[in-house]
Amino acid sequence: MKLPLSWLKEFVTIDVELNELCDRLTIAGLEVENSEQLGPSFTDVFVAKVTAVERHPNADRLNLCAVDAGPAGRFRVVCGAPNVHPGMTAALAKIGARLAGGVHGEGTGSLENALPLQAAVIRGVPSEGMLCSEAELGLSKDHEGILELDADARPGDLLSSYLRIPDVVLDIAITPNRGDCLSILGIAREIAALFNLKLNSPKLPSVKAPNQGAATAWGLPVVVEIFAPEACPRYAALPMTGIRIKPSPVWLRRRLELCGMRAVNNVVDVTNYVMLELGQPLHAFDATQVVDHAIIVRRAGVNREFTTLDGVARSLDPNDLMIADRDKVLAIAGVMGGQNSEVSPATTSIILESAYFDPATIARTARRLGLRSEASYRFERGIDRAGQVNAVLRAGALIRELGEGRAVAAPLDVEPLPAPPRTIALDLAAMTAILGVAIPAPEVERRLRAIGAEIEPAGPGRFNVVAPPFRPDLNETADLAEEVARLAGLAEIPAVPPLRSAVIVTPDPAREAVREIREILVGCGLIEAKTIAFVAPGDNERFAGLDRSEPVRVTNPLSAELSEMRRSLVPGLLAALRFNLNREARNFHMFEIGKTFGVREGVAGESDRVAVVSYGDFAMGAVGQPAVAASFGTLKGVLETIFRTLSAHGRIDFERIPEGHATYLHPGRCASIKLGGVAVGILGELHPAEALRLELTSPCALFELDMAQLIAYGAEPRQKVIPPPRFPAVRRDLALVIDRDFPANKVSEVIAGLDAGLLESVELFDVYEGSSLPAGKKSVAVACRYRGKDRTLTDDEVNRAHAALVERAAKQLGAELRQ
Amino acid sequence: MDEQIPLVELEGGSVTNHANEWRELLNDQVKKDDFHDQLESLIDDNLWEPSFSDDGYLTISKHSIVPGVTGPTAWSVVIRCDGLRIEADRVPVATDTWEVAEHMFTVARLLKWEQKKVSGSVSFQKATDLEEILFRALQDLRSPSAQQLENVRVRYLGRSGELTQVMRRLGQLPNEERPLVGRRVNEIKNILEKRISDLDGALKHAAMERSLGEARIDVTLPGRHVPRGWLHPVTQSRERMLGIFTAMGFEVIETQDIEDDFHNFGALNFPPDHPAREMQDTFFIPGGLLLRTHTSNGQIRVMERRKPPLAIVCPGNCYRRDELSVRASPMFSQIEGFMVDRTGIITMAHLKGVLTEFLRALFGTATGVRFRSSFFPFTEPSAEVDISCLLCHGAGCRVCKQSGWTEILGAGMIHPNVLRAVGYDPTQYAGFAFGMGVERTSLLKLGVHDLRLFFENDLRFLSQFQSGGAAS
Repeated sequence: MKLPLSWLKEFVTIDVELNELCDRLTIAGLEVENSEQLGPSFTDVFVAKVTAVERHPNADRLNLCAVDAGPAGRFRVVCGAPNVHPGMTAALAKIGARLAGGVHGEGTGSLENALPLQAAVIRGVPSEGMLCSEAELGLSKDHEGILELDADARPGDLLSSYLRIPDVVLDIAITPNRGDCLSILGIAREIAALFNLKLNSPKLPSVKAPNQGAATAWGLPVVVEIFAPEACPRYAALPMTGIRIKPSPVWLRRRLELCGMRAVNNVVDVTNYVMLELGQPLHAFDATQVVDHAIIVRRAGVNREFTTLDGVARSLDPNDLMIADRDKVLAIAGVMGGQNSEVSPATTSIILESAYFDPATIARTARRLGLRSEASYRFERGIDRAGQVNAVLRAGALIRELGEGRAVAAPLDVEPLPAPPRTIALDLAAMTAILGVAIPAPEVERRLRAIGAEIEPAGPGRFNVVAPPFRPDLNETADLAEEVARLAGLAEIPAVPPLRSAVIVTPDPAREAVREIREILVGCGLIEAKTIAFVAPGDNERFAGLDRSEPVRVTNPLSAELSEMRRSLVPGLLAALRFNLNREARNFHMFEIGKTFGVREGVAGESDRVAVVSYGDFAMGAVGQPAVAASFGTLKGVLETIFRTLSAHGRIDFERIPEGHATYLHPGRCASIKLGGVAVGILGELHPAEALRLELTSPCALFELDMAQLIAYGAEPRQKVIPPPRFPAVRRDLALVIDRDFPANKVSEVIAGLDAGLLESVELFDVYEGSSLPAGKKSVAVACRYRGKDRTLTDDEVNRAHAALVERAAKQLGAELRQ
Repeated sequence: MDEQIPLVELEGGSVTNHANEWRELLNDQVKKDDFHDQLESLIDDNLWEPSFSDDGYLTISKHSIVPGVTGPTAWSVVIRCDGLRIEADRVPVATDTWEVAEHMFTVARLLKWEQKKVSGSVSFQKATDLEEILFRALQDLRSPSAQQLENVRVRYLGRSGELTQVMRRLGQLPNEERPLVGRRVNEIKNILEKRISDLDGALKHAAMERSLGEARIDVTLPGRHVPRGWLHPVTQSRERMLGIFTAMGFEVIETQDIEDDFHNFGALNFPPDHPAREMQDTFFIPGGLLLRTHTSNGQIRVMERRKPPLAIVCPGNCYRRDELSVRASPMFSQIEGFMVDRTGIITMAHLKGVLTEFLRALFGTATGVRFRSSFFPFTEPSAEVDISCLLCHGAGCRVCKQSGWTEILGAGMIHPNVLRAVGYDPTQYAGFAFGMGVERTSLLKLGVHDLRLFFENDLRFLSQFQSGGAAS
């Protein structure tokens, strides 16, 4: 909220430096985001009365004006403004004056660059000064005519002091709990409380407001009927007549503008002025448009549509709170008035509304309509529950002061649902337990009184605190503790490390496992990526993820391209690959550990995944030596490293993926990864068609694994530790010729399964296809290792065992021995 | 050759008068080194003949063998010096004549170096066949190639080598000469074997030295690539932050990203339609669910299933409806922390204590920490925590908008309504909670100002985090 310091000073005498004021407010929870210094935009400009206007002898459009600037002198000036007239109070720039707006509105807006006003002879007549427009004075862009000041401006006074220049405009971020601070009065109250100052509230006539209207000069009395007291527990109305709609005086307009509001006309401006000053939104109805002068507060019910004063037809919800008369809806309560009862230039009588509306009701309607007004913003945050009559009186008084209208009756005050005082039983010990420091009772009392609470002692260390009606956020001890601590800037609270009993924190095994897997991947040369979990539906379709669940769709996405939650980490990593290839990269080896999302059995859920995308040179050669390019094989090596490092017993299989699954992978170069028979992920090279789509020029390998399964695998018992063998092993090789499509690792598995007693291990070391073999065949060579547990084996026994093994293996596999 | 330093042997000869003076000279390290050098050079080219010039200085000339003389004969080598007489008279054959001569010569040199006049004569009286063999062998061993070395070995020491033949003929010698000649043959064999072995070693050494030069590489070439990746800077940051909290006794628990209204808002004291909900623009998903807007759901998830005392940190991703930009991202990560115990055990003072310690551990012990009042629906009292601006250290700059402070996290005492929502009695239990953005904190720490860098995965950015030092 923007607040001119000059306005605040009407409510509290501020005698501290601006910096200190801003710091204290900020620390107290009213963050001053900006303080704008408003320097003068002109010099040597005085308030002056135009005493006579006569036609310039040599120019039709110019006038010769006699101007009386009181003690500053009398002058004759030439003026071309159409609105100049005798008796008006205007702004006179004396010779030598400097104007930020320049002499004819051509200025740069900076006072420093402005040239002093020269004495001039205009069409043969000397001009001893200049009557200024707002634009010339740098106050606004208005260059329609000269600035007309109000009667309260005294000729001879400096215009800058009349306009309270220089000034400072504070911009304070008000948190949603502090609706009471959305006003000059509220901030002034805070300043008074912070600096222990006296708060000067505006003086208002003490009026007893009846809840029934008396007959007025208009005939029918104004009546207020409330059919939704829970949404509108209080409504004050002030009928006024003799209204003359015109622009507001300069000082009023200027204040609205400094607060970021636009001036409209005197009546609307006064309602806004009072809202800014006291925090109570007001609305003015053209009384002649209110049938029977009856204000009816009710739910929209059957009304389906309503045209607000901005000319937009709004569709209504039956629960919206409306202001109506006997015939029709007049306004959406607390949000915006209607075109049908809007104050217009022809308006002569008005009914001023000052009501308390339920915050949630207003918030719901405003949000649904996407219609945020200064009024709804305040109602949503909770206004002063007891401030309605004061505000309407203040508005009435202002309109009367402006001489543009008068009240025809006392204000009506209808309160179908009175608010009982909110009393909080405050136990100082409980407050100490929250804050960790004991604030002395008198200081607690002083601070709570300063924010408007009433306090009664209620035994030793106890008080009954009545929260002020403008502080709906104060409801229990914790709230009062915050107030007390806040006003001292939380500075009394010491910083103390907590003394806790020795609680042993066992690290979460799953987190530890993730950490381990992350470290393995880093050790394999992979770089961690982080991608955003939102993807385009096309990406989810293409990369269906491991469990092929339905995609999770976002109801209110930022864009269609980000409208689903990823089913797989792969599209994000591929996008990162493409991003880097577009930026000089030639190799890309990255992994991501993150969540994927899917709808399973109708419920949106999430699973942790790890994925790798590897492209380009994986193990780079030395200078002048060839590198190893990323492939199915390199990533299979990474996977084997993961499984080896996790060192669990479970069985690991790489199997062909059934047709129609993971179609984004090369059908001949992809595998399903199974741990203990459970499919946990996929490994493969990108399908050439996909690679083409991504404009890749070399193979792109990738895998994706389910973290939970991997962690479960890693949680299996680690392999037992055995002492190193004492006797040497003997190696005998064996090469078998088998069908090309027969999986090579099956060969070693089958051989290992032929228990030859002395056989320790079987290791695949060569696969050969070539012209020396029949077509459709390949040779698989394995190294068989024999070892005795209790002795060094002799050549003879190894040869016997191996010969037997060779024979059985060839038979079992239907293979030829390769010679 | 150290053992050939002559002092002892000279003493064994008839060295007169000035033995002490020599000993003194030789005990002097500098002189001794000089002595050594000279000896070595003598051994290297051991064809010398000492003679003295007229002015009394010793000079070297070639020495000649008298051919045809056989059999062991005593000889004498005499060097006469002015005022000093060195006499190695009738040195036995068993003593290597050459060495004695060397000693003499060296001593003489030394004396000359000492500015003493040296005069005298050296005479060789007889040489034997055996000595001639030695002489020739030594001559053959002057800078030989590896092949020549082998030839010399075969010629003198081989099965039919000259020395072997002398041994074979030993029986033909008179009885009294046999042991003397036999001993001398063995001595010569030893001398030659040692010399050949030394030369062989030297040749091999020289060959190795040559090969070193040939195997020279360009040490400025890059090394062989050993693949090793690294973690994302945000992960590095997050782990560092969690590490500080675990060191303080906090337990790390992760909770879910997809949440319901109750756990993300309702239980955290955001009433429906309350404007506080607008502080966080929410992504909704069908089924009455949403993507959590903060990790504060962790408070509810943990407290629902556990009882105090609790000291928990919950890291995780959060989602808000913001376009990816310099300052915002639709997905980002936070760390939520909270500590709950019986009323009075955990107070706002402890919140200040924990966070001050944490921030100083993360940003350095000199970091200023400021708590200022603020508002969060789920804490009361609430505070924003600022640290002194990392750029200007509190002096005020453009980054901190001249305030000297940078907002770093939000915190407060857990609101009684939150405790009620999880079934805790707020008169029995109290605690504090805090939350911070991991990316935001990393940005501050790294001094970069664009959140997008963390989600683009640009290797040119990420490669700056290989050491982990930059982000930590």
